[in-house]
Amino acid sequence: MTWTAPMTAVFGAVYTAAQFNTYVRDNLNECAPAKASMIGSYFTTSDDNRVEERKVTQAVIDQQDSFNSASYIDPNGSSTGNSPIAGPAVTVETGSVAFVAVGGRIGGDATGGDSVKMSWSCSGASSISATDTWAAGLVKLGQYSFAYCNRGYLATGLNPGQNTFTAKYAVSGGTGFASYRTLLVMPF
Amino acid sequence: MTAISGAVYTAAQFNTFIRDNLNETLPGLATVSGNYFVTTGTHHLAERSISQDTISVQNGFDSTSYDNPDLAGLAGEAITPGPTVTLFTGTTALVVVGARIGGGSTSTQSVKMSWEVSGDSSISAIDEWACGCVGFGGSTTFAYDSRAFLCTTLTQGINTFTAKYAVSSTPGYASARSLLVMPF
Repeated sequence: MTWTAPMTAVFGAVYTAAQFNTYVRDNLNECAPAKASMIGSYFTTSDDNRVEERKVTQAVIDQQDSFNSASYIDPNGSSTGNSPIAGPAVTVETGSVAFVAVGGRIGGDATGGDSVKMSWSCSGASSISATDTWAAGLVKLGQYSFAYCNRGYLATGLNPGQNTFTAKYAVSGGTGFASYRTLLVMPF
Repeated sequence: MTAISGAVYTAAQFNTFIRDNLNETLPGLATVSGNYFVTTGTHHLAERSISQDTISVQNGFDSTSYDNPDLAGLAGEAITPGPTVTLFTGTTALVVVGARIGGGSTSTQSVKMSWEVSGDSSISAIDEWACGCVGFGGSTTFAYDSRAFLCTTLTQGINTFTAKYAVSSTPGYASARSLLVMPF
């Protein structure tokens, strides 16, 4: 169903059932109340005269895990005795733009000269690798230094559809740690 | 209008209560992909667009009051002020600045990135909405960080948000700089 510019009624002309269905019923079905299906969602534009319901979504992992790769990866170790937990990850329906925020308690690299970073990648309808450009973290603060930090960034150029955003981690050397990890996506 | 059984439903009533009201709904107002709607008054909505500007190169700055970068990066990168975003806002906007920021060589000093507003509003950059680091301990220490702040004192109209930088003593540095504005 698509929006059709509402007709202008003319005095004396017959107002047909077909006109009602096109200009009133179908247009009402394109409006926000007709499309609303979730509590806490909001509406964005997806084209000229077209809106879509979107929902901001967040995933959280409290467990502290570690990572020792210079390229962005899932955590590959844990000081807790548990298996490392990948993510957090969020799958949402997006348009071409989404606000993405990652954050955590990040640091702990025993090699004082290294960086410890948390970024995100995107898979599904889009394919975007994690980079420093939208990372949170710290550089060269030492073994006992952590930052409670985050990074908010506008992801543009997404392919509209189901996109999965996943936190990824990297160090420049040694081993870094992250806990209280969050990833939030607000799609447009 | 409330329709009444047996009463004539006129063309003028259709045009006022159906056509004109439909044209004030979200699909009636929507123009391009990726925007969203805010309220601008009783029974009135407006389309808004979130916008971001980024500058990847590292620049330095040595002013204790907020200013544009005035030093090349540690690898000699050319000085590039900003990022800067110009857009239409109501009286409120969510503003997020972020960067890889630090590098002050005095161990107790601060290195900060904030933002100012010009255009229809005039708001100076201050620490209240800055991101950055304090006392990180040397010229090689940095934070990858951002700061989100809801600016509620804008004058509605065309407003320009520009990142500004400050230190408490020796030069600081910032790269991977971003400034995002979500107007309401």
